[in-house]
Amino acid sequence: MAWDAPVARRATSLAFTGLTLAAVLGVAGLVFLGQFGVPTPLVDGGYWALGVLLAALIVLGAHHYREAANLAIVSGLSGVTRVVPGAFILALAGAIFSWGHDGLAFGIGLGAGCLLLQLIIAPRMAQAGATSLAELVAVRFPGRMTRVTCAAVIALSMLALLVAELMAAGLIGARVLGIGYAAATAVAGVAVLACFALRGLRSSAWTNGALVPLLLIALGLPLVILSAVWYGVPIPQIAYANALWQVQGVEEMLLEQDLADPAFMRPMLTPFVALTPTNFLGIVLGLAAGAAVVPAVLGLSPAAQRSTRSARSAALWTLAFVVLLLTLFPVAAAYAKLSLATLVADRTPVAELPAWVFTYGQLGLLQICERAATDVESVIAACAALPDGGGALALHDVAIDPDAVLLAMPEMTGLSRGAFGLLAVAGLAVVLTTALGPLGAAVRTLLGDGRTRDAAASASRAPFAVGLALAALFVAIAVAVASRHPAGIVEVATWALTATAAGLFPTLFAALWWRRATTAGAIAGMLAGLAVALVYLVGTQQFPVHFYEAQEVISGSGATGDEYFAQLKEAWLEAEPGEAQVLAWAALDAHARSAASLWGIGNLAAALLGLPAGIFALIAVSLLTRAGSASTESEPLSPQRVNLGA
Amino acid sequence: MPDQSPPESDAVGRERGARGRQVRLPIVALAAGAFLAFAVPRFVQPLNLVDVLAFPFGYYMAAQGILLGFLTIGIISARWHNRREGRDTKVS
Repeated sequence: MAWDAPVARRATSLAFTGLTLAAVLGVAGLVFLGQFGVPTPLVDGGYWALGVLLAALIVLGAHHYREAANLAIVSGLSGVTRVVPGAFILALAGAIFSWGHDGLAFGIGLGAGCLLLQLIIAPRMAQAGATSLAELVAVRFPGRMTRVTCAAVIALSMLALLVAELMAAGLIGARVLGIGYAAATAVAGVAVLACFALRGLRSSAWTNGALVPLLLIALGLPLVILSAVWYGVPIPQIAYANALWQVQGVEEMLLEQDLADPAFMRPMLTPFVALTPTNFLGIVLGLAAGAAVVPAVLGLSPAAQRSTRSARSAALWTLAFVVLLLTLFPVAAAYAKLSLATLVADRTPVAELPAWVFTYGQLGLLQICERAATDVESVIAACAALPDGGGALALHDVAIDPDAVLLAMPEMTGLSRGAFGLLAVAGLAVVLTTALGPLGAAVRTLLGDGRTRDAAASASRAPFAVGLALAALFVAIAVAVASRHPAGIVEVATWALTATAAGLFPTLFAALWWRRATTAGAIAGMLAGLAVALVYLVGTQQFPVHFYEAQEVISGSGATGDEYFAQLKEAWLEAEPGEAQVLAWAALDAHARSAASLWGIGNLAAALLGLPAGIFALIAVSLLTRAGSASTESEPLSPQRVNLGA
Repeated sequence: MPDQSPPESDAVGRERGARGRQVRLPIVALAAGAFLAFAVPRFVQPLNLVDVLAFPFGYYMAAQGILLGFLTIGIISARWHNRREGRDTKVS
C-alpha cells in the first residue's frame, strides 16, 4: 500500500490546521491594517482576495496527497460541502431570521438528506462499486437513451445549483467589493471558471473538507463569544434559549406599543405562520431527497468507494459535521433578530442608527420605510413620506434582505470587524469551491465522462479546452440567470435540490434497491419527475397568470371563482397601452403568483408533486415493460456486474 | 437467483457473503428518520407547552432535537450494520 494511515492522518490534520490558521491570520492582518489607517474598501477587497486565494489553494491542493482522501474523516468533511451547498450555508440563517420557526424546515431537510445518504445511498453504491450516479445508471440501465436523459437531467439540475452558488458568491462580492450585485456575480463567475481551469475535469474534491473547520470557526466563534458575554454560557446551542425568550418578549412589547404590525410579524417561536404544515413537509422532503442525491451526482469520495463499512463511516462523519453546522444557524438567526428588535424597541433615532444599516442600505439589501437606507437624510425623508411616518421606527419599517442576514450578523450584534471578515472569507471560499462541484458534474456528464470507468479514461483524454469551453458556457448562463436575482438564495437553492430530487432520486433508489426496475422505467421516472417539478417551479414563478388560469383543470380551483383576479384582469384588458397596462399587468401577475398553487402546495414544496410523479412513472413503466426488458436489467447489483459493464 | 459468475477466491466469496446478507433496506432506521422528519414537526405547538433546557420543546426539536435524532439513528445503524457484516464475514 502506498500510504500509511497514521502518517496520512497526521499530514492531513497539519495541512487542514495550517490552512485554517493561515486564513485566520490573514484576516487578523487585514483587521490590523484597517486599524492603522488603510481604507475600509481596501481591507474589504483584501477579504475577497483572501477568499479567492483560499479557494485556489483548496483546488490546487487536491492534486497532491490524494491518499489522504481515503481517510473516513477527511472524506466525511468533504462530504459536508457536497451535501450542504455553499448557498445554503450563506442563506439558512436568513431564512430562519425572516420566517421564524418555519425556516427550520431547510435544516431538517438537509439533515434528513444526510441520513438518507448514510443509510441507503453511500453503502449500497460502495457495494455496487459505482463512483457516481452517471456511472451507476449507465451500468444498471444500459442504453444510449438512458445516458442522454440522465445527462440532460444532471446538467439541468446542476445548472440550477450553480445559479444558487453564484448568487451567494455575488452577494459576498457585492458586500466586500462594494460593487453592484450583477457585477459581483459576473466576477464570481470568472473566479469559479478560473478555479475550474486549475482543478481540471477529473480531479478530486477531497480538499474541500479543509474549509469545514474554518467555516465552523468563522460561524461558531462569534456565536460562542456572544453566548459567553450575553448569557455566561459559552455553548451557543444551549445559550440561545435565552435569546429566543427575549425575542418573544421584545416582539410582544413592540406589538403592544404599536411598533410592530401583526399582519407582517412572523414570531420566532410560532410555527406555520410563513408556511403551511404541508409546505413545511414538502420542503423537508425535497431537500432530503435532493441532498441525498447530489453527492452521488458529484461523485463519491475515494473512502466512500472502498467498502460498505468505509462508506458508512465517511457518511457518518459527514452527518456529524452537518448536524454541528446546522445547529449553529438558528443561533445566528436568533442573535441577529434580537439585535434588530432591540434596536427598534430602544426607539433608536434615525440619526443614531448603526453604520451597518447604511452599509447594507447602499447595497440595496436593507430598506427602511420602503426605500433603500442609503443615508440618514434619505431614511428621514422616506419615513416622513409615509402616512403615519415621522414617529419612531417600527419593526416592519426595517426590512433586511434575508440573504444578507448571516453576513450582517457580526456587525448587527456589535462584534468586531474581524468576525465579519472571517465569515466573508470562509463563506466566499466555501461558495466558490462548492460551485465547482455542480459545474464539474454538468460538464463531465455532457462530455460523456463518468459513465463507466473506461469511458471516463477516454473522455479525460479529450481536449481539456472542450471541457473549459463547456464550463464557460455553463458559467455564462448561470451568471445571466443569477444576476437577474430571480428570488432569494435559499429559494433558488431549494428549487435546484427539488429539481435534482424529482429527476434523479427515484432512478437512483431503483438502481440501488429495486431489481425489477427497467431501462424504460428509469427514463420515464427521470423525465416525469423533472418535467412535473420544472413545470410547477417555472409555471408558478415565471408564468403565474397562465398557470393560475390553467390550474382549475387539474385541481378544481383556480381563476374562475376568484373575483379579485377577474377584476384585475379586466383592468389590464381595458388599460391603455403603455405604463397603465404595465402596472395593471404587474398587479395581476403579483396576485396570480400569490394564488397559483395546486392543492395549496407552494413552489418550494414542489417535491410533493415531482417525486411522486417520478416514482409512479418509474414503477408503472417498469412493470409494463418488464416482459420485454433485457435480462441484465433485472439482475442484482454486484461489483462484478459494474466492472464487467465498464 | 443462481450465481453464474466464475469461481471466486475465498476473500471475494466472504465479501459477497457479507454483501448478500446486507441487501435489505434498513427499514427501522428509515422509519425512525421519517418519523423525526415528518411527524415531529406537525406537533410543534403542543410540544412548545413543555420546556426542555429552557427551550420551548417544539422549537428545540425543530432546531436541534430532530438533527441530533438523525445523528443517533446514523450512529446506531452504522454500528449495527458494521457488527453484522463483521459477524457474517467470520461465519463464512
